[in-house]
Amino acid sequence: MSMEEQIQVPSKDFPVVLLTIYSVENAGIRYISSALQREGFDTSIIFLRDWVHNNLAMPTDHEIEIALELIAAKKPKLIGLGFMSSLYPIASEVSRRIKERYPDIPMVWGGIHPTSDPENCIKEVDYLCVGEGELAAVDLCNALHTHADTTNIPNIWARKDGEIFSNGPRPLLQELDWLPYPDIRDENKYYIEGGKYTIEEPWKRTAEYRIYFSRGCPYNCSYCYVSILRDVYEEKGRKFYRARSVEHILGELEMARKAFPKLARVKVDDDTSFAFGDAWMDEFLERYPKEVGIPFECLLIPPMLRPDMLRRLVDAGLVRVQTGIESASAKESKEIHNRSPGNRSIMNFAEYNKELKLNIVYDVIIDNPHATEDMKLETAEFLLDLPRPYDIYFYSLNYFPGTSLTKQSLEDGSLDPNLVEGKATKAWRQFRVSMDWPRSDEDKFYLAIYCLASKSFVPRSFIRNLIDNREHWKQNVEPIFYLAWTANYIKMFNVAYRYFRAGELTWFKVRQYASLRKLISQ
Amino acid sequence: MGLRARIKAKIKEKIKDARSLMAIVHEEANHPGRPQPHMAARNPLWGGETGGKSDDKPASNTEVTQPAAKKSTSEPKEELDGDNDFWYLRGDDEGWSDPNPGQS
Repeated sequence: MSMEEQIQVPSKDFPVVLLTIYSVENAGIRYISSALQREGFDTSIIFLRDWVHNNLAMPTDHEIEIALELIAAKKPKLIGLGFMSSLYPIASEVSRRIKERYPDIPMVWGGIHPTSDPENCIKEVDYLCVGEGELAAVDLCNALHTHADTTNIPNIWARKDGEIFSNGPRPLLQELDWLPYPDIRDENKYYIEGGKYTIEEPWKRTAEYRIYFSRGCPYNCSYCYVSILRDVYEEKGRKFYRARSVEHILGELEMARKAFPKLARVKVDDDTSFAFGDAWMDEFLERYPKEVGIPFECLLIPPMLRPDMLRRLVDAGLVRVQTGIESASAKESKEIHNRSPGNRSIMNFAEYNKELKLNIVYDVIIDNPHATEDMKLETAEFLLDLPRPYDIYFYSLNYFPGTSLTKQSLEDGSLDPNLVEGKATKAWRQFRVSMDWPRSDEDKFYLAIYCLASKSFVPRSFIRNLIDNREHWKQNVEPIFYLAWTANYIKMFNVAYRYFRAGELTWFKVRQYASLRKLISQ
Repeated sequence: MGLRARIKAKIKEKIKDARSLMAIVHEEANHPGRPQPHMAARNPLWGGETGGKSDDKPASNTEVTQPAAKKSTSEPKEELDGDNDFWYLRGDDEGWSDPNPGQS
């Protein structure tokens, strides 16, 4: 691959505006943009607000007006909008405003929500992109540009003269090195926030570069969007889980290093990282430290948590590992989440990590109405047995349209259709699980136990005592719940104190972050 | 501005800073667990960076060469190996060795 190859100057008179809401980190839209640019199309991306907390309100009229004016200035021949299910109400309203102002410009939706609920989404726009979109977007733009038929493009649903054309997906792209690097240039990015816009790639404000080494996932957990995509791409005989070459990845990171002035770490954002085989691993572990050398973090599956592999990853720069427990109950894992339990691997890793001293974060799912108390208890006991310190990514169980869990729950009547994301918006309001979310006393009790279990300064014997007396505490949960809340305070004050002492936290940063949150809450 | 006024302004500023910190800690305490990466990346209490000075000019003139990974002169090639042969699912590792039920 030659690094000298430059992106083509737009050769086609067909500007495209891509828009995303509350999704500055959206990689998909950047991939679409660069794929279109490579084909000679002129693209711009509008980022409508950033997502730093759960209060995702409708952008103001003024902000939407800015977006409309930017669209007017770009004179696009196609407008694309990518979004997640929880943002459907906002995306729908913004799209309505765009169509109202520019009724003659065709509009296409893409992303996981249109992929999971195309039948309803196609009623609102001209086109949908279902599944992976780079090739489909190129085909759609070429067809529109040459006034060719747009009703028979694989992956593209079209609505024309009241008729709906639903086209199945093309075979999954197998050779990921065919993809261009994501578009992270500044000059074609418009970031709308706080009632004004700037021309910049907003991603570059952070010190972290997020990269995908692969697409797909070898697993098929029932709550995950992967189960939707597996339904879309149900063909056999092709790889669903695909890796890029090390060469291609290092090329992208070289670009990122030049483009991100503050780059200090790399987040490998794969659903499952480093499960690509020994030859791939050997090449990566040999070349990454020499050619990139930036600390990185990733999600590893339990079988990867082997001492020899971890040691090599740490030597290459791994500083933080995320791994999914979700539930430590074998029954809940297998029967509800469609996962195999990896408790022993995780426990072995946790023991070994005393030597490695990696920062480790475990994924845990709470608020699962299908989980029995025994299942929650098993998770509590497992968390209590894990060596500290560790952090937890809490996930409040959400029902995304089209996942196998949602389909099953709708089928057996255990799920109110109004609680499916798109109609519901819980996924963003509980994107970061909050203590004050309404939940049952039993769920409050176990959330409190999970919180306490991960705090090194709370004696395990004390937590075990609470668990032993759980019948009492579930009926009188408030003291335990507020104790856990207080423990959260202590932890965060301690973190702030340590960061201040180390010089990593300054009053300037505090003011800046407080102001950012206030700005976005308006 | 007199000395007294300056001291008063300084104290006010420090109180405001402390309140900001309290507000952030309060928010974090209400959200147990680590924030997701894109949130942590902006959050100073989780080692994140919120960017340069708030009045930074947009970096629109930054010279970044955007290399094209490959020219798409032809359709991507196909590879039909199937996806049921993951090397790490063939061992004997704690139950994860079995492909998930929905996959096999």
